[in-house]
Amino acid sequence: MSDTDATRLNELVDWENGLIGPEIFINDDIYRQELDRLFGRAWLFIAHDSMLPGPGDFLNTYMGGDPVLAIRQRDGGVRVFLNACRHRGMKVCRAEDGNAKNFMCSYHGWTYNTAGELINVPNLDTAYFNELDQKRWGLVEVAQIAQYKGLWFATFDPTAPPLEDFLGDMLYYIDAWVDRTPGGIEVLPGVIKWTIHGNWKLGAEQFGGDGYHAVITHASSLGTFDPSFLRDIKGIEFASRQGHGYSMIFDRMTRFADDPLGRYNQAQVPERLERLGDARANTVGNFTVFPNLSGLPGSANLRMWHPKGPNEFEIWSWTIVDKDAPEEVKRAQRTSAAFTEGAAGVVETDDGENWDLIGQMLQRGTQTRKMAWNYQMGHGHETDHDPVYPGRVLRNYFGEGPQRAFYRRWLEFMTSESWPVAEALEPDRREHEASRPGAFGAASALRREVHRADHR
Amino acid sequence: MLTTGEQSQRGTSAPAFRSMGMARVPVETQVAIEQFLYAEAELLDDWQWRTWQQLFAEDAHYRMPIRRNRLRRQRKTDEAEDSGGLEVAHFDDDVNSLDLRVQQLESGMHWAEDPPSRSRHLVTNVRVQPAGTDGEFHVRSSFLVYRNRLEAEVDLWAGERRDVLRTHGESFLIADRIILLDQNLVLSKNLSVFF
Repeated sequence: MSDTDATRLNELVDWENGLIGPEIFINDDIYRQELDRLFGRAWLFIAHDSMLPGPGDFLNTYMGGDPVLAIRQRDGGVRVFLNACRHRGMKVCRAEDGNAKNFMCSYHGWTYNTAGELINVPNLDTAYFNELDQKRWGLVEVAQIAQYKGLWFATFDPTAPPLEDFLGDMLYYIDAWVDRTPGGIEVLPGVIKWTIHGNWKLGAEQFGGDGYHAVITHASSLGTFDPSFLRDIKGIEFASRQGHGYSMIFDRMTRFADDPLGRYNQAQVPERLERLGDARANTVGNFTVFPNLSGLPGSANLRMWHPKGPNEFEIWSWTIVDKDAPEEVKRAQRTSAAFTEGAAGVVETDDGENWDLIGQMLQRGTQTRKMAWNYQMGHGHETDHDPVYPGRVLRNYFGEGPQRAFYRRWLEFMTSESWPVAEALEPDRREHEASRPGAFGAASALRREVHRADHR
Repeated sequence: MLTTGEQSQRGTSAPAFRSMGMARVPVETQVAIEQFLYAEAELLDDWQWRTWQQLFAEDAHYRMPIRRNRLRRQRKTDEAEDSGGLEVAHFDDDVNSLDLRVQQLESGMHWAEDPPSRSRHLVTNVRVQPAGTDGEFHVRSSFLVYRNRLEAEVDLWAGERRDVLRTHGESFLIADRIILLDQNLVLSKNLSVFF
């Protein structure tokens, strides 16, 4: 029996009981299937609008294992192409970002414009007898692209449902970091990239809601620089049926109380309360948008977990700021973010230690691979009927609901032949909501809003 | 205080030494600066981070810009000089945040360096030029840092340092340091050592 059989995967991922077989973090067959069935179908984050300011601006990123080229078009839209020449598959662009009118493959010279059209083939007459139909050999384009408030996502699957359905109840939380000021966010120039010898899901699941690790892993940073941070943490955990997760701490706006941005943040409170309401305005959170976009709004961080093999991933980490913030605030945010997150960040360095060593153990061991991992924290204490927060909610900062939701969704992608539609609500909850226009009334309104944003 | 919000302007990085002419400082100065850099490397490799941190002047900046893979025609002239913009960096520290990093190392709970890594800082190609200011020198050097951690972990980081060294009694203070790591994608799990 292959490791990727549905039966085998169902044995490995018992999300209902919170038991996961770590084979899913190391097995090569499972990894290959993941690239195809998960990364080949899910909506994946490409870029924020501010990263591609003008026509011809491009950047290179990855959708799963494949390099893609995102290019700002003359009409203001963004298109995303597989960064692979149609002739022999060589990358047509090897710069990480820049501006271009066209992209010439450095192997045989096939050249594409920013709309992905094949515009020049060397020796078209003497080599191809003018018989090559150039129109048929443009760059391979993603099946769908859409944006939500400046966040561009793409999918290779034409049958994937609209982006807003995919994001679902996560929209409520995304707004807490992209829509807290009228101007929204912008991403500062530059991306910090580094390498972990471990599985990408370790990072993604942690950012979905592992507040539990912070107390120990980050004792030397969060605990040393601001001991109040780790005392009596009040917060919630949110788990989406779509696999997303968010956990947040109340009554804080940044990781460190005496952060240099304190004055700016304090001045923003009324505006944020107005836009977001009490439940989301004054919080520090971390999140994962399934499968591999994460961030820490309280530390101005946005990041992706790019898979590079079953036991290797890259972290691409950006710093986000309020677009309308004064220059000195942006500068202070940059300095603070560099100190905290990124390859050299005082908080981040201790995460790398954990993920990398787990990867080494799984790589070398067999008994280690057989040992079920425990994801049972908070099980049975969550509710689908929280009066304030959408999704499955635990009114506690420590819990593993987001991880259970993440692996449930992962399993659906991995075992489903067609695009695995997940109802936003469990059947019993749907009945409940039908009789009560509560929190989900608000989420539905947001959904209509995202729909409009897509068609602007 | 965590980090200073409003930073003073960074010092000027050491200029490129493109002339093949003679060194323009007395040989004793050259030797003294080389010896300072070697002693500094020894402090780091001996885990004497507190003493190391005190080598920095009060107004010092310690910065490691990111490196970018851009088309030749769209490369910035010098990644080290991009300090005026808003581009993110691996390290962007002043003496206060360097002090916090050392506090973290001293905490006994900084798991990325506890047990501590063994490191070896090799410093070569030291080129010295007087800075415009009296008693200050522009120093460019190359480094190779080897890190061996726990049982089998090895990291190698090569790069360049551009320092402004300020005469201080019989020795020097580091008034500014820009580190250009020769990696775009950092090939290790973290940068938990100093450069």
